[in-house]
Amino acid sequence: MSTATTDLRTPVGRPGVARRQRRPSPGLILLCLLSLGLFVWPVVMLAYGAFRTAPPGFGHASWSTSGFTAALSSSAVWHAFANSLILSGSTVLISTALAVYLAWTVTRTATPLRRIVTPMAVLIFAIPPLFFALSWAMLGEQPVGLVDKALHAMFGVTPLNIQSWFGMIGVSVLGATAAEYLLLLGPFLALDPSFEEASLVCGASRLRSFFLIELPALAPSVLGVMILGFVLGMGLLTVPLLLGEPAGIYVLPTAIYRDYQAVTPPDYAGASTLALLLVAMVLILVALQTRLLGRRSFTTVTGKSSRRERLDIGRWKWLGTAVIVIYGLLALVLPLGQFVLGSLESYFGVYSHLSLNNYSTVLHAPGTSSAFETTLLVAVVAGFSAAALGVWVALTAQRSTSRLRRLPDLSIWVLWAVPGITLSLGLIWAYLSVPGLRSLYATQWIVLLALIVGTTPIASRAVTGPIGQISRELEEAARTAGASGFRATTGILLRLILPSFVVAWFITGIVSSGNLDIPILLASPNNQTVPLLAYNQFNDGSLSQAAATFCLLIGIVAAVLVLAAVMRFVLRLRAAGRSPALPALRLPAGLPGRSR
Amino acid sequence: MSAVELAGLRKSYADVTVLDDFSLRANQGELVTLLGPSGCGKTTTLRCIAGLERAERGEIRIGERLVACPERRVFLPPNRRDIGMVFQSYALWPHMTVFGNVAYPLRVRRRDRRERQRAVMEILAMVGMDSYAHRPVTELSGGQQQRVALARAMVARPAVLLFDEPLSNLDAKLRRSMRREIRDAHDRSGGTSIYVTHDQEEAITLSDRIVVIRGGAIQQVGTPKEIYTEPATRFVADFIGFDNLLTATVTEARDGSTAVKLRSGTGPVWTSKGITRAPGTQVVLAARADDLEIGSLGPPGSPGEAPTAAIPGVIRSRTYAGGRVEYLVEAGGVPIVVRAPEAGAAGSLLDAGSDAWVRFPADAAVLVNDDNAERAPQAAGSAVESVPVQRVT
Repeated sequence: MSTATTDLRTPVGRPGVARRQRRPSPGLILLCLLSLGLFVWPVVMLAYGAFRTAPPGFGHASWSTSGFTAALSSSAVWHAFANSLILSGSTVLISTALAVYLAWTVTRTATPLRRIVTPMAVLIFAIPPLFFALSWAMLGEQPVGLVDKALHAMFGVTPLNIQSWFGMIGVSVLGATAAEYLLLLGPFLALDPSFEEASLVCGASRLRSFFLIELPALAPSVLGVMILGFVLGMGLLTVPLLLGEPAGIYVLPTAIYRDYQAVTPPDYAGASTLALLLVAMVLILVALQTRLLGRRSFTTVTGKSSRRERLDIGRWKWLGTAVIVIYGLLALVLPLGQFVLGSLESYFGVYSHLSLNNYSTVLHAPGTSSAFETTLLVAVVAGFSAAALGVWVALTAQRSTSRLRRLPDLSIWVLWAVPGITLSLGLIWAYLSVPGLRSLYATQWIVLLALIVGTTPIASRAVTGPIGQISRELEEAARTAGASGFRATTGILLRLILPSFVVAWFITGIVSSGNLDIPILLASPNNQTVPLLAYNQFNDGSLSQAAATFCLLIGIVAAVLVLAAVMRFVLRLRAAGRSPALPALRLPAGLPGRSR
Repeated sequence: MSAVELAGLRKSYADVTVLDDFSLRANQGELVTLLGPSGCGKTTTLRCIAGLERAERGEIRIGERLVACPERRVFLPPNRRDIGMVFQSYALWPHMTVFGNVAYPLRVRRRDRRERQRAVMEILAMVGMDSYAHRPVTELSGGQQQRVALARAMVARPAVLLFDEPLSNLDAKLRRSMRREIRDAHDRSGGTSIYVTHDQEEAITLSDRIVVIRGGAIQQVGTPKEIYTEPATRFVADFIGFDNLLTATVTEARDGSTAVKLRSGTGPVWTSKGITRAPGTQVVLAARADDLEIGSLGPPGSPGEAPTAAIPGVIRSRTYAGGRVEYLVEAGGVPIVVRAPEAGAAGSLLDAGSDAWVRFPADAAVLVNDDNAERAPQAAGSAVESVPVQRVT
């Protein structure tokens, strides 16, 4: 069996194929304007907002640096900044080590239970981060959470306070590990097995080969994942909001949220300044990465791959099994168990009189059905639009001959610099400043638009690699076989893109439906999404109802996942390997040093 | 000192048996080539020797050491077998320089820095890559990568060098020059080398001995000359480039020479090479197109009269083959390929459609076993004749 490992860095123009410069087509111009408006404009407005006395769109605002300087001279701001660094840094270090260990265990060893890691990681990735924050807040709730009770029973005292640094980092690590594992799985599998074999033949042991050859060869990917994890960690709102703020620990995202939402009047310039700090941090990181890696890009040479012998690590494999079990317990079983149990309790923490009352309360509450409708709309429409945009942008970057072809792709790149709530803030500024869009404020449509913008980078990453692998010759063959340009595009190109498009839609749909950062700033009480509804219920102290709400959402997501798995299975049976395999999650190309 | 010996090796993947009862010995200092079509088990054999695959049964010895024997639960991992290997994809580690790659085997053997430096530069100089020592390997061309891979395999002076189709990713011209370099390197190393290829020319020019493999079983072992001139079976003859594989029946055998008749009834063709069989046995007459003679066939008594023992036929096609001309002659329903000098025995070019004779000079042809008849189900695609083989009873 030979596996063809494909280089993700598909050249835009092959040598020898003359690329004529052409005038940009109307479609390309439209796409460029759209990308600038959707992706670059919010970032520009974020900077603009830091120097205005009122939000854009509201009259009588003037230029001022007072908000900016006030924010930067406040020690609380720098404290939050330092906290962000600590939270994100420690989360990334721990989760990357764990993710590398899991990826190695799954791809190289014969550890029992290794097969459940990937499905587990997909599930954890599909569950919104808010869920983990909420459920761990409940698990550690003193004195009634499950874990808290168990620890109390064991030790008599409770050594664990989840609303602390310990809890924040721990819960962040649980979610980040799954995402990083999924991102690392591809590079681990794609690494030419003959690299390791060559090392063995040279006289190095397997362990030594791993540390001297495989890990360094994977370094760009690992570093890329770390940087991405760090950036996303800096923008993480939910965990610090639920577990840090009650303990008085502020990080940049929670500080931004407080400036914007929790103080009256909102400190627009202050929030923007904090956001700019975050952006600056990201830019420095990316620059640092470029400097560290230079133009080093380790192309994996296609090799004759054979059935690789799995490493027999003897008794150590049980350590791997233990890690997998503990991780599964902490990241899935306990949180889910707590949620299901919590949703059945008439009052949170009272374990007798379990009933479905919370569900009926939630289902009959006026906001619930509208929240589920909004969430469904967002998942389907935002997911579809983001995936379609991603395909359009990737196709343009790879197939157009105009000088402008890379512009849309680059605009999407800008978005990676504005993680989480920063983007929401920029989007508010951007939409408020446009007269027509201003009337959309506080409607579900603005939430939808913002989620499209927010998830397009993910969709773009999911489709760019697969589209790059579709050889231009396939279309050319259709043309020479007598198909019209339209027919070659729809019948061959789009057909081949379809599987990756569906995957991108799926991922962005799930991410959109679980997102809290955008609705928390943009939605009004009439059009909140399910995560926001659950968050508000939690904040109001209706923990059991929040649990019920979330259980419903997770039930729906799980049903969709199962449906997708069944559909994929059926399609596989029917096509028996005809359709391209579903693409794995891909790293953003620039971050891991795979930029062209 | 370090002969490589395989005995009764068996290896299968799922339900496909790749090697079955495979035995082979490569003597100290020998360069033995495993030659065969893709999927014949040659790479699997090599990987078993390296320890990258585990056989299910049998023994592998390197020198005096038993390195693998599943029956006795012996398995030495690759890193403890004292081998060097050149991979088809070169497998140079992209995160290291040329020097780093080549120094690696010494590094893991814990040689001191000074010695490492000296040995690496020496071997790099040998392959002509010393001026590239500090380049990243990703910047090298295919041929240069190949040289680095060779240097890395040899730097620690392993007892055995293994080559897995190392030249298959290079262009034809480079392949020829690298072939010489590999042979030189082997001679200088003084160790035993095992070389896997599917290219018969490569095998013949490079090896001390060739092992032709088909379907996991050895077809023939011999020196390049033996293999080239006297293939043992129809398969080997076909693989080594015999253009004509003609089903024939033995009519007479005397003084070590055998006469056969072609299926069309024409003949006899005499040869002393190859197998000897009793009259009536079906064999295959194998001949290279270049060794046959051809001429224009005129009426008896004319200058175009066929020489004795020539086979009459009709020229079906004529192809220019670079300095020579290739004719496809049909003799009594049997197609025969002949390559003759442009102005050869025929004196001038023969036209398609004209009558011609074909002659098998003494010992131009080899009689081989008709292994197609024995293993007919597997032989599809390798038959040269378009007519199904018939068994003579």
